Amino acid sequence: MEILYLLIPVSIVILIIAVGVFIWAVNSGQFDDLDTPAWTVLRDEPPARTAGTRHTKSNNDEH
Amino acid sequence: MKNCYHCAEPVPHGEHRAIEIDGHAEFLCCAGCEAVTRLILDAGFADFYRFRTAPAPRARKIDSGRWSGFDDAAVLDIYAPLSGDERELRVQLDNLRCAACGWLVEKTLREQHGVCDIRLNIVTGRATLRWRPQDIPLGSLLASLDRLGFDPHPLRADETFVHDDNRRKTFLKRLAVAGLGMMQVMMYGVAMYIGAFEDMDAGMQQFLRYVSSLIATPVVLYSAAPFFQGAWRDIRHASPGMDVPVALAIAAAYSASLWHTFTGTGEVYFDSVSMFVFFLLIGRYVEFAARHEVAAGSNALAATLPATAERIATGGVTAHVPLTLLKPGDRIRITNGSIVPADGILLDERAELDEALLTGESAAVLHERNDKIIAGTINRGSPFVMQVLAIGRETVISGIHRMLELAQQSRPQLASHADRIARWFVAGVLAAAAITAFAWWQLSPERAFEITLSVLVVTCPCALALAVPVALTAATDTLARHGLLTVNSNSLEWLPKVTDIIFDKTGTLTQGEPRIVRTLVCGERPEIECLQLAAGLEAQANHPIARAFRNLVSEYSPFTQVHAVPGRGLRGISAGVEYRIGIAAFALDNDNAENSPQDMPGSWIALANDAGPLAWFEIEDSVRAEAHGTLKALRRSGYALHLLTGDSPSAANAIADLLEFSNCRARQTPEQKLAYLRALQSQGRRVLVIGDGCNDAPVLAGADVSVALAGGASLAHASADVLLTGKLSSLLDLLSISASAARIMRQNLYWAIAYNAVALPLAAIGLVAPWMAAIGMSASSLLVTVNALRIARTRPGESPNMQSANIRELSTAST
Repeated sequence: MEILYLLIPVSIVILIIAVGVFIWAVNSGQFDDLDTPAWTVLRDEPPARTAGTRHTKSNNDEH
Repeated sequence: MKNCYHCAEPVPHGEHRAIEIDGHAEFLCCAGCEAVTRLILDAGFADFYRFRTAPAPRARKIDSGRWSGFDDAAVLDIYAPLSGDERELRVQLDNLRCAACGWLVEKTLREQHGVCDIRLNIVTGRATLRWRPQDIPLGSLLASLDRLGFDPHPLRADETFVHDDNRRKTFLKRLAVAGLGMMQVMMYGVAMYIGAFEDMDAGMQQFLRYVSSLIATPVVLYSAAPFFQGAWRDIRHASPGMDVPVALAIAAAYSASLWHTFTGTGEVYFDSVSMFVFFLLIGRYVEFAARHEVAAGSNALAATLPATAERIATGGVTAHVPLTLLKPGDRIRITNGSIVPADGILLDERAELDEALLTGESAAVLHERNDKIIAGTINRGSPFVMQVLAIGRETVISGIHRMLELAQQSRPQLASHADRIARWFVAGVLAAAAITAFAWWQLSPERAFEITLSVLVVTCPCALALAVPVALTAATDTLARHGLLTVNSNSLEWLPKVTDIIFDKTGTLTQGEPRIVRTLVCGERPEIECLQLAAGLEAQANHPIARAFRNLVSEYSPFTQVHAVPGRGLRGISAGVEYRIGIAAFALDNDNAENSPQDMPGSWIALANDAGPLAWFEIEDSVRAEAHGTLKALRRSGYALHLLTGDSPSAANAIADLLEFSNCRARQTPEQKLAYLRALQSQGRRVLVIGDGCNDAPVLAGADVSVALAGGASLAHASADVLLTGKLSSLLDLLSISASAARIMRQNLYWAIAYNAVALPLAAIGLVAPWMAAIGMSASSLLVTVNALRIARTRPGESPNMQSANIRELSTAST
């Protein structure tokens, strides 16, 4: 079990990295808005443009 | 009646605008909506119509010069500081009806050359815009937002929400450290417990202890800091709150564990401490986040002032300037239909203002020269000039909003019940610890320290500390999801005890918008012509009654020389003939005229010319659709309902009969409403008041619980405990959710006390090992939290027993 004397310090280093990443994420505003990104997943394919009357291309449904 | 494809408002008679989408024709209500719809389709954003879940805001014709003031570098520095060659601006948007609106905003702005980034939070309406000033002026970006109908309000760079943002971020960081640390330390803890049974090598034991202490240290010093700060504050003010036992427990467990680690003896409690800190921090964070949901809502309230004003410079030149550049002493011009941007004095002869912001009544109020004018009121008459006295934070409505914010920060009284319990708790635990120490010192001194420590640790104030905050935040959150914003959490305590409900009429039971319900023609002119004449005459006024006519016809008779007589009506000339519309005495030019045709009930206005009356129009403020059902349900639950209104007896009786009120009073002044309330309270009844106008403010402030409607006067909001943003039927939800919240809070507190009553004697006798303490703590915290989640599952009317029990109690007491 002596290997634990090495593995545990390694895991602590990883822990510190994890905490550091989380702190970076908080500071850079990743957690500021948890609702909007769910709504912005809309189709973004540009539809065909025709002048005058508008005919919007109905794209095939993915499901 | 067709509805506009874009904004869903009714298409007036005679309006034939249409646009072809997906192969079929859709109708539009006005040139503005048509323009915006074409704009959206031409830009390739037809997906907006496919994905939206709510109608778009009605499009507006805008004055693009309005935003040009924002292109000035000095102004920009206040709102959007320069960094490199980019500027970043926070803008508050309004009228974001659904997710597709947000998508439209982002798409429209992103497509413009010069825009680097636009990030929009759909829930709060706040957007962050980054752009290059030399590529595109801010004015044109704001103008495009305005044109779409989203009402942009640029926010200053120094606003206070930045401060809240930092507090939230710090909370999250503390949570991360506590959470990750807790997981690690508990892992080592499990290893050590198993090792205790399985003969772990002493060296390994010691190693694990050192590692646990290393990880637990930042958890205690950083993540638990708020508890220590709170406890210190409480002690300094000699009013021990929940923070004191918590801080005590953490400090005791941590320092004891450290001591044992370095001396190689005894037990360590690092895992319990870390878990303890994490759970409590979660409770605090949830409470904090709930408070801030409400704050974001009231920021939107604050955006009632316009973003720009028309300032008159010396020499008479007018220029649009951003609101923040106004100074006291400036002269500004307010056009018809605009919102007054600042408090000031009227410089012109007269002005007609809609003061619904303060009073809830939209009938125009007449002001004369040198009268005080309040920011936020709307100009319903001809344009006027005023001199600015106070801007921004100094205005009257800013004061009202500050009152609202103060009310939001009030500490819920139920939590202070827990605080009172905590005081006894701390005293009790310290006493028990002292007795234990003394007793064991006599019996076997080497165990005394151990056992005293385990007493201190095991009597975990976990459940106690979490019991109330978690339930309160679950209740506030659930209420918010039902459209009820809790401003004063104290009220959650009183709601289950309510016996009577007082309703206001206008705006509460009714929509607050007048409609034309009947037209009586009394001349030879056909009805449609009378409506067109009426609409043409009223078109000059931005009065609610004028809006009622606009919805009925789309062609108006042209009028010139329209002159409004405040409180009486309008007169104007069309095709050479003078017409008058308004109250009978004015329109018929006869002070003795009857107020309504053939004495019919209801509110009537007349259209007439010199030859005589042409038509009568009946105006009605329609009752809310859900009012009947809601009142029936309330009556079934045993509440006594009352109707108090400042309106006339005939209008009041009409509603009272319709909704079956047995107690109804009309023409009530605010003082009379308050007196009625006090009379009820003196009988021992607990009263809930629901209203929306300024004349309700005193009675709202005096009620046991007060509910204001979100669309009503701001002054009413400041006096209210709960804001109702949805339908009137949410009242039922409010009552049932608060009843179950009170019940669950009681359950939690009982559990916390019972747990400690059992655990303390066991610890004092020395039977509690650290792993038992750890399990006990986590189990009790979890139980309390999960119990609180049950509040979210309340259905309206689920707990009528509570209310009827109150009524039965009351009626047996009074008989």
